[in-house]
Amino acid sequence: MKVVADEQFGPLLPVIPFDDIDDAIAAANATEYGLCGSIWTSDIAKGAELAARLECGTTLVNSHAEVATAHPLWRSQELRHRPRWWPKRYRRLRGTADPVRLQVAGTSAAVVPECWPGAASAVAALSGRHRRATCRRRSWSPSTTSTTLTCSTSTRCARAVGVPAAVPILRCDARRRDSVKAILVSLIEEVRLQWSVIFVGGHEQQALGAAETGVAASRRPR
Amino acid sequence: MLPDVDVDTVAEQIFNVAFLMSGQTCAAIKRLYVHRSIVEPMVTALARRADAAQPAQGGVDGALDPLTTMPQYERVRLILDDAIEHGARVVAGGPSARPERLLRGRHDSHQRDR
Repeated sequence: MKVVADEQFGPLLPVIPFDDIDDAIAAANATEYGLCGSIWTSDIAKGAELAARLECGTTLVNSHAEVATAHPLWRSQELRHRPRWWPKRYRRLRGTADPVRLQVAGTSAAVVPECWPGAASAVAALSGRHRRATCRRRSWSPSTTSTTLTCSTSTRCARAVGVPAAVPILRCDARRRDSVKAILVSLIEEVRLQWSVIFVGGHEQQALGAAETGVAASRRPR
Repeated sequence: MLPDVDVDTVAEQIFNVAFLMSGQTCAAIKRLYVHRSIVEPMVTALARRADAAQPAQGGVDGALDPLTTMPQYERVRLILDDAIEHGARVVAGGPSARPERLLRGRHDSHQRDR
């Protein structure tokens, strides 16, 4: 059915019932598209687990259409749309070596590997010294990537469905996970970001919840 | 969408994201998988919002923006017809509605309709 398999780009919304969530995720991943995906549930932890299984550029829980443009998987979606005659290994290629980016509900946040030149200024920006600082077009191996700190609106959505906060999904190269995690933890402490953050690294997935970072997920950032 | 959501609040958000600029947004929701146990109330809630939505020129809150061009309108109609042909149930709008109203203010509206 075209309305499911193609992109309608118009005021049509197919609603497809499912019995088994695994089938729904498989069906969602089976499409050509994958710019943005979301899981809607009151169970954030479960939602985050499921969101991590969506093959999308940006995955969100209880929010949608807040696309992280410098997202590693965003690049993989680009590659996915490359011609069919490309060798499969290129079409399947997943970019994971980019600056990692995090959209935190209700505030401006970006998380980057510490070796990234923008890391220090990002942390400075988020600690309140430069409230509206942006880091863009930093050179980064293997390519130049534009990164902007963004302010997302997930808080409102999250509050409406009665969950503490929309959970940002962060993906990064597994090799960089520890350094990214360290930055993330310091960010959470320094900026007092009061959110639980789901951390998805490479092939491994790890939830960096409120308990681990010692912050309450239900309070708003200052 | 898992069965534990509050149907009405979530329907509101889903509708707003799915019909952002009448669905003419790259990251808008294009398909929605809903657990069978809540699919009926969810569809009803979405249909209620769809019926209440008024077409208008862009910039008006809660309004459906016009489709960009006549060819895009025809394309969307073809997709809708295809869905109906394959057994989709249209719960709001559809062929009996007046989607022509979504043509007002489109980008190529100065051109003669084909």
